Amino acid sequence: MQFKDLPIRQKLMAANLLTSGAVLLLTCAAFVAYEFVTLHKNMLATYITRAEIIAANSSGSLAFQNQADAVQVLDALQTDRRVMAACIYDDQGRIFATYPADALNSLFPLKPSASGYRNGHLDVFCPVTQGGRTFGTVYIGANLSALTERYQAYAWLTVAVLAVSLLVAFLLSRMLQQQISTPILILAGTARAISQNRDFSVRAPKTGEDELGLLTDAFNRMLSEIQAQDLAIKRLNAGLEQGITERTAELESTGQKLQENRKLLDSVLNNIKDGIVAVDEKGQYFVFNPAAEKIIGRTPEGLQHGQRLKHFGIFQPDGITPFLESEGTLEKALRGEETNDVEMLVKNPQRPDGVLIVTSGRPLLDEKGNNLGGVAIFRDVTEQKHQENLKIYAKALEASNRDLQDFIFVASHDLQEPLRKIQSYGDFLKEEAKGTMSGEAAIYLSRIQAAARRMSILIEDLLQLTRITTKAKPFEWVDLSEIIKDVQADLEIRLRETEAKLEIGELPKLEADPTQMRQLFQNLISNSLKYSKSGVPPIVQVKSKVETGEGRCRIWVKDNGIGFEQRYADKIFNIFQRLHANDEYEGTGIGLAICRKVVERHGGKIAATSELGSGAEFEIVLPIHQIKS
Amino acid sequence: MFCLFLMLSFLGPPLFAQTSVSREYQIKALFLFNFAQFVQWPPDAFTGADEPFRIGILGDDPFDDFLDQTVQGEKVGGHPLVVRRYASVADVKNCQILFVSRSESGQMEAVLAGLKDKNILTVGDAEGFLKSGGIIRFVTEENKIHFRINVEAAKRLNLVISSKVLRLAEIVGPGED
Repeated sequence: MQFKDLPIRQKLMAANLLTSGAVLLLTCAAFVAYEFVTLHKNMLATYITRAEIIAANSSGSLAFQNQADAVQVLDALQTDRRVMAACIYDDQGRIFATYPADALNSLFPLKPSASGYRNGHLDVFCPVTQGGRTFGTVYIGANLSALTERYQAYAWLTVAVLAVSLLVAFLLSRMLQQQISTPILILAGTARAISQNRDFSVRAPKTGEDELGLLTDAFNRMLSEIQAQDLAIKRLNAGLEQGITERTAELESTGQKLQENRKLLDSVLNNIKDGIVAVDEKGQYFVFNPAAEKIIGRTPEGLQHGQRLKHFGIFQPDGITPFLESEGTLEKALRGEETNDVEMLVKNPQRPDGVLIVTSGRPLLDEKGNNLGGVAIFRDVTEQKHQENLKIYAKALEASNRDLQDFIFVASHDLQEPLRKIQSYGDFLKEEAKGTMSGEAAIYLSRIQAAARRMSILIEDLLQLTRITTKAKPFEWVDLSEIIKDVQADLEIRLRETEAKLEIGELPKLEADPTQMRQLFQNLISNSLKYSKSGVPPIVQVKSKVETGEGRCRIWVKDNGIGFEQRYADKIFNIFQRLHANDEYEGTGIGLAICRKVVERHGGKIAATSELGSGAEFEIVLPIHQIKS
Repeated sequence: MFCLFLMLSFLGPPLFAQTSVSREYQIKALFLFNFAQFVQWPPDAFTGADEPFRIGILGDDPFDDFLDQTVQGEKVGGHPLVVRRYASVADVKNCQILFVSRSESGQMEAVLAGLKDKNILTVGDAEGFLKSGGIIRFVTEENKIHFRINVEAAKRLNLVISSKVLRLAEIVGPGED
C-alpha cells in the first residue's frame, strides 16, 4: 500500500513519529558530534595541562640531571590509569626518564613531535622550559578508553532517549491525531453516508473552531445548498415528467389525428380519378398518387433535373411538338405562376394512342407567401374528347343518313313509278299481243315483268329499311303473341304451300314499335321458310324467356333448314348480303338487315348460330322497357 | 641508578668531547649556567637592562674555557651571559654568580665576608664553604653531583631560589656545611 493510500490516522501517526524520530536522531547526532569534538578537545587540553605540570616540575630535574626526581615527577601520573606511558626527553631528544620507570624505550616515540590523536591513543608533547631556556620535552601517551566508554554511554543514552521519546511521541500523537483525524473521519463518514443513501438532510457534527470546523461548516452549507437544489431538481423533474406526460398524450392524440388525416388524405389521393402530384421547393416529389401513375404510365424514378416533361413524355396535344420544360405546370408553380386547364398529350407506354390530359397547377405558399413547392392536378380527357369527337361525328353522320334516307325515299318512290309503268304496259302488251306474240317474246316479256317486280320488291324493301328510322312510330306496349298471330295470318298461304309447321311458345309483352315487331318476325319466319331443305317440311319454333332482373327478354327463332357456316353469322345481317345465288333462293338480301335495324332501334341485339345443313337459330335480346328519349 | 650511570657515561662524551676539563667540572659549569635560570636576583643587581649577566670565577679556574663555551651566546632575562675571572675578591664588583674555587679554601671566610653586602650567588665546592657563608656547595656523592643550599644566606641577599632547585638540593641551616 502506498503512503498516500493509508488512512489519515496512520498518516498523522506516521508523520508525527517520523518527525519526532528525525528530530531526535538529529539532536542526538548533533549532541554526540559535539560531545565527540568536545571530549577530544577536553582530553587533549587535560593531557596538555598534565604534561605542562610535569614539564614545570621536571625542568629542575632536567637542568640538574636528576633522573630520580624526574621519575618521581612522572610517577604522579599513576593516579591516571588512562596514561599508558610517559617520558621526558632531554634537549637532545634523548629519553631522560620514563613512566612506568621500567618501560622499554620502544614504547615511546623516537622523537618529540606534535600532540594529537593517533592509532587509537593520544600523544601529548610539552616542552620543558625555564627562564626562556628549553631543557627537554615531556611526552604522555593516553589510551582512549575513557572516550570509548563515554561513547558507549552516549549510544545507550541515545537509544534509551529515542525509545522513550518515540514511545511518548507515539502515545501523544495517538492522542493528538484524534483531534485532527476524528473530525475528518466524521466528515468522510458523513460524505460516504450521503453518497450511499442520497440523503442530503444529514449534517456533519462540528468539533471545533479550527480549519476543520470551518471545513465542516462549509461542507454543511454545501449540503444545505445541495439539499435545496436536489429538492428544486426533484420538483422540476416532477413538473417536467408531468409536462412530458401531458405533451406525450397531446402528441399522441395529435399524431393519431394527423395519422387519421393522413390516411384520409391518402385515401383521397389514392382513390381520386385525377392525377395529383406535388413537389417541394427543390423539385422533389412528395405526392405522386396512383391515378397520376396510371395516367402518365411512369413514376418519377430516374428523373433527371430539368427533364421532367421529357421524362414523362409530355407533348403538345398534336403529339409531335415536345412541351417546353419551362412551361411545365410544376416548373411554373415553382416560379409562383398558376396554370389553368392546359391540354397536354402524355405518351403513356401502356396507351399506344397517348393520353390527353388537362392540367392545372398552383404554387404551394406558406402563410408568409414563401414558395414551398408546387402542386399539379390533371385529368385524363382522352375518352371525353373521343366522345365529343364521336358526338360531332354522329351528328354529321345523322345528317348524312337523313340525306341518304330522303334520297332513298324519294328515289324509291320515283323508281316505283317507272317500274309500275313497265308492269302496267307489260300487261297491256300481253293483252294486246295475245295470240300474236311468239312464245319466245312472251317469255322475254314475262322476264321483263319479273325483273320489274323484283326491282319493285327491292325498292319496297329498301323503303322499309329506311322507314325503320325515318317513319318510326313511338313505342307502345305490344303483346308479341298478338303480333305473331298477325304474321301467321299474313303467311298463311305460304305456310300451307310449304306444309310448314309453326310452333309458337309463350311470348312476352314489351315496349316496342308494333309494325316493326311485325316486320321483324315476318322477315325471320319468311327466312326460315325460304331456306328450307327441299322435300322436308319446314318446322319453325318461336320461344322466349323473360329475364326480369336484367329488364329484358330473349326470343329464339329456330328452324330445320339448310343452315349456313357459322363464319357467315355476322355477314348475313348486312344489306344485300346473300349466301346463295338468286336463282336458287329468291330474295333481296335486305330482310335480315331490316331485322337487325329494327332490333338495334329497340336497343337490343340479334345474333345467329348455325351449322351447314343443320338449321339455324336466331337469338334476339330486347329490353322490356324503352328508355324515354 | 643504572640508567643514570648510562646517561653519565654515554651521553656525556659527545657533548664534552672538545675539552680537556674533567666531567665533574663540565657538569658543575652546566649547573652554574643553569642556576642563572632558576634564581631571581633583586632588580638592583643590574645597573641597566642590557648589562651582562656575569658569572665570575674567583681563584683558579677549574673549567678552563668550558664555561665560556657553555654560556656562549646565551641570555638570562635579556642579559647576555659573560664569564669573568677574578684573582681576588676585591676585584669582584658587579657579578651575579661567583664560583669560588678550591684555591681560595684557605681564606674562604675572608672572601665570603668581602662579598657579604653584594647580591651575588656564591657557589663553591670546597668543604666548609657553606659554613663560611657561601650559598650553594657542590657535593659529589656516589659519583653524582648534588648541591647543598644555605637558604637563609640567599634570603639575606634577596636571592630567590626556585623551589624546583630547592627540591633537588639538600637544605642546610647557618653554621652547617
